[in-house]
Amino acid sequence: MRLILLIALALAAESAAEGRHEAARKAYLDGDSAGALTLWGELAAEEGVSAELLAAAGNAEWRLGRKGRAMVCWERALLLDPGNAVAKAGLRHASSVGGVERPSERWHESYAGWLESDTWTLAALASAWTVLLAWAWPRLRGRRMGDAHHRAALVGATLLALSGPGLWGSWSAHRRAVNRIPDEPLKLTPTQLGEPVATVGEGDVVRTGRRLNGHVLVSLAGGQAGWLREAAAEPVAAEGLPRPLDGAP
Amino acid sequence: MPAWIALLLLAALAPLAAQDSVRHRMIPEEPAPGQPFRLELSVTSPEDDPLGPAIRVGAELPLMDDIPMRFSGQRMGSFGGGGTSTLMVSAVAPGTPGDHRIPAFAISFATRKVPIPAIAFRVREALPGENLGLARAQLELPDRPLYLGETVAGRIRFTHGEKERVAGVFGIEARGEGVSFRSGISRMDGADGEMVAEFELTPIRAGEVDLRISGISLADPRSGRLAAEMRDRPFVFSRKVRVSRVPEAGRPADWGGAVGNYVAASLTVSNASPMIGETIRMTATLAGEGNVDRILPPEVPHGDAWDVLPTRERRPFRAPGERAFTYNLTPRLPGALRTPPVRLSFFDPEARSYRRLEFTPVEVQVSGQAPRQVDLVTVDPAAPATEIAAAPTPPSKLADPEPTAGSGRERVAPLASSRGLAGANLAGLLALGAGLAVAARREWVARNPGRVARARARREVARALSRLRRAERAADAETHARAAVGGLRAGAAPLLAGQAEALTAEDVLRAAGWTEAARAEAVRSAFRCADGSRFGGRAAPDTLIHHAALAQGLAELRRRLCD
Repeated sequence: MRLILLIALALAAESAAEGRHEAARKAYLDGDSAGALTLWGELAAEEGVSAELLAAAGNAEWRLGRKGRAMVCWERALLLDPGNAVAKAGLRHASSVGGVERPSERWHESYAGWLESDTWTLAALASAWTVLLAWAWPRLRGRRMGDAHHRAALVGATLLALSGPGLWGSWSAHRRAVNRIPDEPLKLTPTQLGEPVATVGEGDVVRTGRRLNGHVLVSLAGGQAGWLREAAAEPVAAEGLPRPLDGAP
Repeated sequence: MPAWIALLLLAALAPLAAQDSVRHRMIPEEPAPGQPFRLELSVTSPEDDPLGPAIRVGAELPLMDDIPMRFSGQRMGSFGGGGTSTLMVSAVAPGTPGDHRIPAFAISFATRKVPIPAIAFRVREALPGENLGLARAQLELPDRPLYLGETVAGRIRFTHGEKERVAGVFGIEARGEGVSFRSGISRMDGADGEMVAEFELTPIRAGEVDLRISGISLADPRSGRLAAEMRDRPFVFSRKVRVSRVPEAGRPADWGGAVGNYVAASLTVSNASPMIGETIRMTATLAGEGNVDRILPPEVPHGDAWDVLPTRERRPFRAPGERAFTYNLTPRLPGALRTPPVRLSFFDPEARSYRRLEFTPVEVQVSGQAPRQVDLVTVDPAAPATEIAAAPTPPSKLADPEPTAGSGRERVAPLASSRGLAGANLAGLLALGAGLAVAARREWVARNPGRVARARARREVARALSRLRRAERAADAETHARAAVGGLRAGAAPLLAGQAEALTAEDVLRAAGWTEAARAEAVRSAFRCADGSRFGGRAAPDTLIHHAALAQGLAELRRRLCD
């Protein structure tokens, strides 16, 4: 009886959430982007984020003219699901006609896009353990490697070699950030009065390096390198929706 | 006298004839300790070479702590054939009686510089019961190291004397290259109406800085006479101050040069209920003691709800110790919004640490509707108008999203960054390594049985030797014999490839190759004592007398097992 009650409650909660998702989508389609964002924000706080929700929030943010938040949402959605069509369309739109600059993908990042980063990690781990155990198991038992062991080691080594670039590409894709501040100066030195060498537009995606004195070393889409304030550069690899700038330290 | 000698004499005496002469006079000639006096310097120049007016006397007078001097006027006249310029200097005599000296210096006139020789004078002893009752000045500066760029508020406090009171102060200035000096207001302060002159110092060079502050106070004799009888009282203060750089450790990235002690006085907006897109003005007012005029305006970044543009404040310094920072804000979204945060980091020289303050945000009610869609598509402003008009519709557009319930709870952080996963894999690797080590050891033992037996025998011989020595010290003959026999059997067994328990004394002697009679007797005696009961009666426990031979034999056996 108690189990039935719990199942009924869970179904009712899911139905209510589904209703709110539908209401948010309807608000978005009706042009009420601010209202849709409010509803999706509440759902994200309750359920956590998904690639679909992040991509949808990115669309609404873009419509409200908040390039930086939109780019963070889309980039984050692609980390969760490299094949998310909404996020891909959003990024394509922003890059082609929205004036946003995004570093072109390197070969290993394109390769990593075939699978999710966690899948690459698990594949690499499984193949590495296969190679190790195929070599170690006969030794643990005081015997020589047999044909089956050799075959397992070969398969594992092949998988490991294939998953290496995927891991590298995933790691590289995670080390990116989106500039949230319009016309943020790219500085020569990581200091408050560092000489500006270029201007980074809101929503531009940068590759990130080390951090120093409240700044992060970045390279732009054009290859130019310099220091950006940490408060301006929001990392792509982070949890949840984009952080509110008003409360940033 | 030849003509050429006369010419040479004339040429040599010509400069002497053209030289300026300097005379001085002190009034009074012998001042009392601490008594003001007037010094008159009369410079007479040749008739055909006038001096002109003195131009920088105030800056050229020597600065001495014990004899403050100030230039108070110049009188020019012509006496006889030459021109005489008389410079009047107000000074105060040192507080100690005796001979004193004003060092030589030079005075710049309009045409040339005239050297003034050193002036020696005498300060007489104070007369019994004599009380000059003069006013006094005292410098007040913070008793701590100063920091580069900070504004230090200092003051000079003038205490009235019994016979004169300070009625005014003027001409306060500082000499020294390491500071920037700004004289402030003078006012009456305190219950007895003391005069206080305020000033501001800004160190501009790090290190030890010589600070010399001088000026003149006007002393009014307490006689009720006319103000025209006021007297000049020069004063000089000399201090060495240590100027440090603001520390780099712990310096916030947003520090904009503020040094002092500040509070966020107020944050105001020009309109608390604007429409979307309507620009309002936000003013943050900072108050406190410090270098308010040297602070970079704190940066207020664009928020999600606001566009922020810094603007120039028309009146940034509305009151002493206050500074206003102004920003233009444009709301992006409707509803009740709070103004973006304004934060300022400053270095507190008293606490010697950085601090941060934040202005309390103001709530603003924004009315209106958010735009249906903001056009973020860019157009090249340099393109011809015909091209812009004929531009095709954007080839890309946003896809319609379809988020559904239950799709959440995904994590963005990669699994590879999980500490748990790394820990589990590390533990697995360690376990595998341990297993491989055990397997390798087992295999080695199987391949080297003799070496293992020797190692084991070596350990047993060492233990037997230890037991043997303990028994010898305790004079326990029976334990001594058992330890000797146990060690001999364990050590001889690997040499004969036999079982230790089955070996006899002869086996041990054969395995060890001992032929000396004394050692053979010692071995046999030990075996008789230890194993005698098994063969019809134990011999007397006399092995203690063979202790040295037995211990030596065991040590030799252990060495042979190491080969």
